[in-house]
Amino acid sequence: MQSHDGETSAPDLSVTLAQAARGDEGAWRDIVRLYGRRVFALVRSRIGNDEAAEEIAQSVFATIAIKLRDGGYSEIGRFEPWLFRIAMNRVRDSVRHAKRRAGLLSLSSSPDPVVEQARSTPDPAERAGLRAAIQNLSEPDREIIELRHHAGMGFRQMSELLGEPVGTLLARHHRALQKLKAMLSPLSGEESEGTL
Amino acid sequence: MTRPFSDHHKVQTPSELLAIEGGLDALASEIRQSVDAGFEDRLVSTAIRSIDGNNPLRIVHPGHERRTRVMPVLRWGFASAAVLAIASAVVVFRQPAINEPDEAAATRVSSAAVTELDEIAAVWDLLDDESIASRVSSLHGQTSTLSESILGDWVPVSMNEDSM
Repeated sequence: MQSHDGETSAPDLSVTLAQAARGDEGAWRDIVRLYGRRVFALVRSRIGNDEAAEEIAQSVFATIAIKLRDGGYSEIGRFEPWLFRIAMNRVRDSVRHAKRRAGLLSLSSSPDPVVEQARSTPDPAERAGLRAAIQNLSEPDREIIELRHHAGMGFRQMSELLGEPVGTLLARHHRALQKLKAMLSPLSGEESEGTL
Repeated sequence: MTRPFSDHHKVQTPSELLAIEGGLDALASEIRQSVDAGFEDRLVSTAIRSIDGNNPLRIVHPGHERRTRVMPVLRWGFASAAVLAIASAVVVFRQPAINEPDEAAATRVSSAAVTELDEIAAVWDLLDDESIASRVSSLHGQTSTLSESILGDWVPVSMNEDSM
């Protein structure tokens, strides 16, 4: 599966997108194969529910289908940032909606199936801890971690999506990793206690 | 004063951060692989339906359907209602031979109801509960109208002691 490598070659993708705009099933299978699970992983990481994440993923693909059909895709060569921008907007909408229903769907306190699933893996403590640490990151830090690792985006594509220089994003990513490392380290808690 | 996270570990070896990156990639991969076999087919179907201008129905995740046990019950309830509605229409439609009410009108309504039932059956898996309920209610309304119009003529006669 493609990861961190950016888009497929532009000519190939432009042909595929043109075919997809006409409803070609093979073209859609190619697009879904390239991006479907990456969109799902990005959404799933934030939403914490398989069914809701798939529903959002479907709405993302319905949106890009309609926009491709109607000529609403004008960012030639930037399909991947465009696609994930739509996905991120859907995630933000969903999170806002969930927060409005506060108490019924607390994203931070509700049982997280991913964490539960991670507990059954060979290194359950590490994975569960990492998942929890991601949830404790600030919104900008979490965003860059999830775009990079869950959506599998390259820094160039992320730069186009977020409108920030690649160097800035590299630094942001590095700082986010350092924060995760600090949260995951058993020593960090002891050090914090010692400073109080 | 609480120090920022980055100050906790002033000496970070690249391997520590690489290990975290590896863990993040593994976690993401696990999520990507967690979808069922029909996941990509459902996305393709949704996209093509949207291109065709159809209202993109939410294609239900099989796991979701299994966990929502009330759904089959509701659907069987709707199915039962539809079958009963059609059955009552057919039975009532046969009775008018006694009084010969507006047979042509009854035939039209009955035929339309059967067609409607066939259409519902054809797209059963693609409809959500609300759509099924709506269409079955519409169908039941048609056949009820048919029943009432025919029974209105037929029942009083059959219950008339003079005719027995």
